[in-house]
Amino acid sequence: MLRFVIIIFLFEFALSANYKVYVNTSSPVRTVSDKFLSVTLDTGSSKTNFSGLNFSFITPLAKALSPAYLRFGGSDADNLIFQENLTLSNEFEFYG
Amino acid sequence: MLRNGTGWTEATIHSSRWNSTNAKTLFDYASSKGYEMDWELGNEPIGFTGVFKGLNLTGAQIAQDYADLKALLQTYDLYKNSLILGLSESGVLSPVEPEFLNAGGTKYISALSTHHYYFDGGRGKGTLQDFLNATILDSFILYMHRFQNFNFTPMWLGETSSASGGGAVNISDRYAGGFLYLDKLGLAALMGVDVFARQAICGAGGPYPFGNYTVLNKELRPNPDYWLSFVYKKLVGTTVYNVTTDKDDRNLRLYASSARNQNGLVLYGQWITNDSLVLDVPQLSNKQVTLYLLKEGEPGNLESATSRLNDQQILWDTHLPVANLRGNHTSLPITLPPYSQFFIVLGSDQSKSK
Repeated sequence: MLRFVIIIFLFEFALSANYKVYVNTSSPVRTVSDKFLSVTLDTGSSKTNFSGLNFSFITPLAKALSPAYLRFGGSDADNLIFQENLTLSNEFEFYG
Repeated sequence: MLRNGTGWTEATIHSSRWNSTNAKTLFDYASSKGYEMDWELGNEPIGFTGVFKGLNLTGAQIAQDYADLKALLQTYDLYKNSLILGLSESGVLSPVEPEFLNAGGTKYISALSTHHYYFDGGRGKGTLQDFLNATILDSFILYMHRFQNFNFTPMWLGETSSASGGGAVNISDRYAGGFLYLDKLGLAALMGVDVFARQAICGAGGPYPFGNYTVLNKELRPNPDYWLSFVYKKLVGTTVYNVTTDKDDRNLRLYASSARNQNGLVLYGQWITNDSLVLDVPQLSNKQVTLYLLKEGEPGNLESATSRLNDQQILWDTHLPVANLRGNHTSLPITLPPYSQFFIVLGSDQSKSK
């Protein structure tokens, strides 16, 4: 006599991954600057008249990222010479 | 007020000592205008021999140059307390760095600044898969261990982005770019960085190859990483917490901090596989939960040039301030879609965030 063994397979479709998360708030690791997320402007932009940078246009966008540092630097910084020349846009004013 | 860090040097071919004449002209001008600024001296010294054709500056000489810079800045009321960032080196493997630090350079810098890119994206290098690769993300951990080994704090990432050479074309400035940005923000905060300067805010559209990783596009309008930066800025506070999960998965990248300007904490990160993700935070299951989920603007296209917040287009009207964020009130456990960048604020009333 054959005994039929019915094996029921439970298929678990791995459509989602489940994780339990633990955050250790009792011992903080460290603190960062309130300007942690900052931005740069590459000095190379100066070679192309700052690629159409319009300060008043981006003021609201820049302000929304404050407080922050703006780092003006890059490879070309090593070759830049400052010249005060009122006919060129050499000066910057930052609003925040 | 945005404070400005300027990289500056002028090396003459007659001597290897920094000639400060032009810098003094700049300081005279900027201080006369009342511009509050901080300063760097030179960019990526490991490249000097290439840039200046055979000029071989030792870390000791550079330390002396920084001493000169500091002495010069002390003569300006406006700049005597300015930060001096150095070395602005291109990575953490340069022999100039330990030379500089051992030669007393530590006395002249306010923070040790280095740069980081995951790989070179110039001239068409870099693929979408590179932006979804946990091994590439984890490479930053080794970078940070080496950075820590200089034993100098504070540490800054003075220039950093996904890929160098201006970024990976048509990826670094798209939604997928966020995966090589958000993860680094999280790891950097956890592992010792005080300031993270994203290369770059703008500069796209020029003939020079530095515009594929900008946060604003060539019309100066937001790319997806602008919105990611904005959301991060509005939600993530300055206290960093450790996160663990019940199972390891290198494709699940999670970080936590205090919530900015409010009680509670924010759990943030990314998930870089094609499955759905369900997260539970057992210790906080009774707290109010607000979700900010950033996804690609064109569903299914991770190279979208726009992004959506909680499934809505993010709009900005020119000339107007950027509108306040609104998140989705929900409860734990949270289900997140494949390939997502997210912020989960836990534990306070989230009806309005600033």
